[in-house]
Amino acid sequence: MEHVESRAQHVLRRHPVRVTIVEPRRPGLRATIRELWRYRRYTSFFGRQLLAKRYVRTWLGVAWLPLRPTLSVAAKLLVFGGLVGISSGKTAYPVFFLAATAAWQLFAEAAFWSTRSLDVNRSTLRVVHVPRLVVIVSSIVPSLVDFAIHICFALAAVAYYLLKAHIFYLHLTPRTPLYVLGGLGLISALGVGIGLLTAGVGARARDVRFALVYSLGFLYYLTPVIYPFSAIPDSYKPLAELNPVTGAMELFKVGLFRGEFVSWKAVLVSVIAVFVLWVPGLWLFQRREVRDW
Amino acid sequence: MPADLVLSVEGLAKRYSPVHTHRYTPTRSIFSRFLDRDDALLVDVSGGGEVDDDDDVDDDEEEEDAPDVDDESESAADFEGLSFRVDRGEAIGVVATPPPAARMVAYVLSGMTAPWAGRAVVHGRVGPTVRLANTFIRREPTPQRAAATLARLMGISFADRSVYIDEVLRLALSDGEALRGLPAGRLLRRVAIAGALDPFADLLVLDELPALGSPAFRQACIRRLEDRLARGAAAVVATNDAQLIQGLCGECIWLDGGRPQAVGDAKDVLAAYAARVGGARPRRLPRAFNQDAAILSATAAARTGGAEVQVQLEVAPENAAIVPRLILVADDGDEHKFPKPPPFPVPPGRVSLEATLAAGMLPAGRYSVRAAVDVVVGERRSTIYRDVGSLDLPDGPGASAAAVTWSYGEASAERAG
Repeated sequence: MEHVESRAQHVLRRHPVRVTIVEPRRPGLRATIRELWRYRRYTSFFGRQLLAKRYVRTWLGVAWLPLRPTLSVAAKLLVFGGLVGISSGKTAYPVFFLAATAAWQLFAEAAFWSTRSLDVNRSTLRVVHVPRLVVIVSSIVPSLVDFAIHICFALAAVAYYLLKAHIFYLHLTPRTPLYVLGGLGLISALGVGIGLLTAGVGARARDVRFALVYSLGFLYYLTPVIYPFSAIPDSYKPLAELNPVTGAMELFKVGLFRGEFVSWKAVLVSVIAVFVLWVPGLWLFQRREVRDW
Repeated sequence: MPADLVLSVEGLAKRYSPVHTHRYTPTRSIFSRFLDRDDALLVDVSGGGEVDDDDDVDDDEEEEDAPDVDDESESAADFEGLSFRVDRGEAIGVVATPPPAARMVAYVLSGMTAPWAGRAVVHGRVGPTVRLANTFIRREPTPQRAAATLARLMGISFADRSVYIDEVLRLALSDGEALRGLPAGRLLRRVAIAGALDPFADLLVLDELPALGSPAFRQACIRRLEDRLARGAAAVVATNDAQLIQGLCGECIWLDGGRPQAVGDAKDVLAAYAARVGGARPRRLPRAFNQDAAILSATAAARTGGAEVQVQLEVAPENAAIVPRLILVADDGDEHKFPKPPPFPVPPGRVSLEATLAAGMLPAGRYSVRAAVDVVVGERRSTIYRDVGSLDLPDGPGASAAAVTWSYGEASAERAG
């Protein structure tokens, strides 16, 4: 016992005294961003709450985390790759589909969980002062977990073709990290940006959640996830480029696969969409919080 | 900055935000349903209702909203103009009439809710309140996981986490005999209490010390607190347990109606506080007050042919009506309640109530008596309680439905119940 006590005292002595200031919340975007950084350690807690929502009160428990994407991906792969026979150019369809689905899931899950984040964590938020923005940003945690699971599937497919057909379908260049991280960054920002606008209302009205689910389902087919951008007829390409997710998705895919090309116009639309979602979203959000607290 | 200063508070204030105080514009009128409901979620209601455990309900289940703030805490938790300082090794007590204001001071200092005005500067780390810790760990499956979650949330570095967890668990799981058969929720609550006595915090903010579990655990917690004070931490103890404050704190603050009424030596402040609340066991007072009324004193005495209970009440609002009740608990634990009398209106100010209990209404013997008063103000109804003490009821001719007779004030308007 004494040993533990002395260890605690040792820790206390080792750390310099820091100053904690308790004061009223300040309005403004800068103060909001500063708060987000100050409360950053809460993102893992709220993210875990959202993650647990997927398997709470189930018999299989955590096993549902990989099981749900496995079942979903297997069915889609069978339909789109097998029955419909969609072509993915120079890349084997399973590799193409799984990688693109991983990126799509990152977007769709971020949009869905950021919309639900305030609702799911409602009882904690009623008691504890945590900037609501932290809770919305924490929706990226379950999205990243889902993305990681899908990427594992994609890597397994790459390994399968490498071992069986001796073909390495990934096209890795020095620009790959830039494109991939840029694409994923845009995708995440788009997803969370949607939540900024919908989380507050969505916490009270389920209509928002239902509408979002159907909108995402519709957008899934409009975005080049199950087919490559090159498969879109030329007359429809300008329209496809207006889809905010297309540019981000293509940026991610062009970093990974040979034969893909990026439409910078579509990427510009994605960047503009991020600003359109985040600037009014942040403004509205911090204004509402500060007014009421 | 003096080297020993841990906490300095200047002009701190907290006031509840009314949810629906927006200036209505045509747009807001059209979308008011959406907007107001949304705002109701975003409003900070710390210190209001208890933590509701309903957020794990299935997606398809209807979630019942817990009331944001209960009628006792809505305005009773407000405070303003609070200034004090605490040095290393010192503890300061905070008592309040009504009591929610004391808890709110703790919540503001621990960061559970933001103040509306003023500033508190803490030179060092601030520990969580019991309620804050409990909110975050109440769903954890084991005490170990709960302690680990607390360590993460309190910003304990990875290298120091094992020491923190050891310290928290050492206290939470002490008194091993009492742990057997303890429900998981209460075990986690022990971890929350141990977390509030944070081994690394320079300022401990304690909101629920009197409500600790077994006497042995309570003693262990107090020993830990004394040890932390001896090692240079400071503490703010928000409680209405005057005994605890006298034992731990050199200084005390008494907030009356949200404003500092007395600050200084704990003994003097507590004496003034006790005089204000009637002098009887302050620990029981949390339920004797709300924003509408307070039971100032309650006494019971045996009389020939029965017994009498006298209750002194202070009522604040106009147009209030009261429904007094008595609850008698026999030595064997049997609880006896009586039919409620109809509400009778009372003016603002002090009201004297007297209940007469007829001999023979209950078997002769010793009973502990509790007085309860329902206060009705328009649509609002609240109840306040106070322990009266024990009473020896004599034997008598027999019970009747109108065995308790209430009389009120000078007029002695008799009402049978």
